[in-house]
Amino acid sequence: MSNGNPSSSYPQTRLQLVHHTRTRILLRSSLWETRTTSDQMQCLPCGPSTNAPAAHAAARSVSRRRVVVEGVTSATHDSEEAPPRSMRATGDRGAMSSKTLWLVSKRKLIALSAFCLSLHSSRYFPAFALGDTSVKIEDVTPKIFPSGPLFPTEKRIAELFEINTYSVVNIFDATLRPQLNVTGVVEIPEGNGSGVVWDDFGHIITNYHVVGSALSKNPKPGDVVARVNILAAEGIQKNFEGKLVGADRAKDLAVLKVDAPTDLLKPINVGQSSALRVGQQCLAIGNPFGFDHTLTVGVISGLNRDILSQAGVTIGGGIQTDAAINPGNSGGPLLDSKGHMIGINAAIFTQTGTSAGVGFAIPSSTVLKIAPQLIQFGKVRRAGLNVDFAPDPIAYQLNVRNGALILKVPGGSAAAKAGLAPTSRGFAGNIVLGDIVVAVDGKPVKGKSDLLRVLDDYGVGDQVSLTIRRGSETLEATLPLEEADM
Amino acid sequence: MALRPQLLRLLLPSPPHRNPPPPPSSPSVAPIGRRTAAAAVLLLAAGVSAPPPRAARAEPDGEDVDEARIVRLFQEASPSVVFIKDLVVAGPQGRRVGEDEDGDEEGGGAKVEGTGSGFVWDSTGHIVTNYHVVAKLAGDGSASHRCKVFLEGSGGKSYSKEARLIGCDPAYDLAVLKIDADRDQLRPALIGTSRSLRVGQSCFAIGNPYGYEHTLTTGVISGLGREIPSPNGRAIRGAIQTDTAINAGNSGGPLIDSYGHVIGVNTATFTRKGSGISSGVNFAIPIDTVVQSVPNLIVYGTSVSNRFY
Repeated sequence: MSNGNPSSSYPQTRLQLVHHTRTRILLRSSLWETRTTSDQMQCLPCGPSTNAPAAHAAARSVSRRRVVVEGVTSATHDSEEAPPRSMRATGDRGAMSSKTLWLVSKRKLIALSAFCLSLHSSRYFPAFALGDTSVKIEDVTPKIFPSGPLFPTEKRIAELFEINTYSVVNIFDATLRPQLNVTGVVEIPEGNGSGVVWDDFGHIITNYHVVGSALSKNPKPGDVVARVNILAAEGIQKNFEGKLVGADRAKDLAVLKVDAPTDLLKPINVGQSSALRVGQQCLAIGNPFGFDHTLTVGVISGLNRDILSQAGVTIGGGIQTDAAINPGNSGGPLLDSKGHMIGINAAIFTQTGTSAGVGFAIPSSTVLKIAPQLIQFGKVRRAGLNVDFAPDPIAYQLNVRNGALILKVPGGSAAAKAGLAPTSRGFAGNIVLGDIVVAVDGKPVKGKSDLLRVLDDYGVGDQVSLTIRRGSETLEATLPLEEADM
Repeated sequence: MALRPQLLRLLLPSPPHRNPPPPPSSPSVAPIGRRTAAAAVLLLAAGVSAPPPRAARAEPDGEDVDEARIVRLFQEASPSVVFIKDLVVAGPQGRRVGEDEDGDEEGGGAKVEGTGSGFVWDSTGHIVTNYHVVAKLAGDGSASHRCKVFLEGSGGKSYSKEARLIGCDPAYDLAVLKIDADRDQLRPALIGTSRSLRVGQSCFAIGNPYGYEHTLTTGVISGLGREIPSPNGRAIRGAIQTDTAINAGNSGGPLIDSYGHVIGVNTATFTRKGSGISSGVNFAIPIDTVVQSVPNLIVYGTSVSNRFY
């Protein structure tokens, strides 16, 4: 086949010309680079250098010239090592091209080398050090495998995200506006967080600590404490003022209100957190580090955890998850695999400031109890017995090992009317133990903190039946719960 | 979205000068750093790929099918993923290498400067990785830097090849290396498309976090259209965000969809204190960007926008 008819030799000649032209273009490109910026002029020998260290300028010049020549040699070597996948004739053309390249480059390189030396540049000819013009773009462009349909499990998660992401908002504390630092990069302050749309009236639930800086200035209801970004169709974000409705530091929750059109508000579906199990799948949507509407997926890692909230309080009943939760996720929802909100992400355990896979959420049962009160009253009315109980360590010293010991009973309180007895001193100055509450509505109580935990499930005005130990007697007392003194 | 370059750390491990020796059973790879006083980065235990499941029940349910599929996905995709070591050579022209008795030495007196991941692009020996993994091969001092690529051969055994830099594109944090290997030794990765990705779909990362070779981690796509900084300070747009664990050493490795197709090149994790530890907010360069850039890097050494015609 190499002995073609005269007409076939003509195309080969033309192909040589094409290669020649390409070589010239590359040379011109090098010249252009020399003129525009010397930083791009880099000499990258592809083969091991055989030059001895040079101590004199003249020797260094010689060294540079050798490196240049060596580069070309390496390029040719590359061609030999990686012959194109082609017929024999094509291979022959490749060889001829290499020779042509060598002949032309040798003459051009000497001239170009002299030119570059006059510029005192220490870097040469990137076009020859990088790249491999013996191959074509088509040969190194891979076949693209189109994506197949999603598998059922991942399709379900994708759909859950697409449905619920509109219920998640981005919240910026009004007192911590993003600012330009000296390098011109916008810093994302700690005041960035997330929130959920609670109802069609524009109420937004978030963490107390997300707007903690604004709340520390004691704003009145109706004051603007944050900017709220709500996601509209096609990824557009609309910005609204977030006005304070109410906040509860004890549970690290706050309610804001935005004046947004109803069609923009997509309230979250609130699920039940009382029947959760470790191992269940859960999804977190929020704005970690300002990357808005981020989805992370994990499982419920634990239940009934004590959360050390950034608001400075401990919250019981927390949900632990390994879904990646980072600063900025706070206030956003934790969803179950049906897309129901089972918690509000609130805290992480970390030593680096970013997720280590240990995140905590306030359970939805707590949110369901707190949010309506904040909306209606601007604060939370907690139910309490309003008697003074002995802190657990003191009760322990008084040999009370089971139950909550009553220290004082304020006069006129429901507890006084029910006849609960305080701790007192006897005639001889000895301590006479007061009543010990050992159960509430049949639920055992080990101490004061346990009692408070149980009372957390009750509302003001609820009737409770207390099981009381008085000396060697066990009594029952029924009384209404009053609003707790704080 | 504004850039946050000082907070967004590229996944090139630079552990402190004195690195504690790894436990005997761990791989002998221990990346070392120079001129750094940072505290030692703990070597996180790498996830071991799950053993093949026992014979499926007569009517396997969806989750058994999923688990078996992921195991097979790893087995098929793993041979395309390589481990990259950036070595400092004490040669005639090389810079003086720091005196470091704890340093991990390669044969010939080279010290490991950094590690990363990459994947096989084609049967002729081209390897795609991040620019920041091999940046020292391209800059001043490149004469004293070499690059070794470790590949998985038949039977799971690892072998290494010298690699040379063919092209790089700092604007998209991409680079191409070339190794000389027999065609039948190479398993090119299956290149997918990032055009129709959806938030919530599953994805998998295979790489070498902290030198633990061929580690698989799983997660979902957390977000799309993200903006992250590139090594030259320009914004890389369209980045994929994922909660798949991506740590120092994963850089340059592939992000894979449920069919084993490459959808991105793992590049960065959002971190504070420069730990390089995955935060669950991790980023990959979409494969559509890679497919546009890499052929030009192979043929011309630079991307189209860097040429002057």
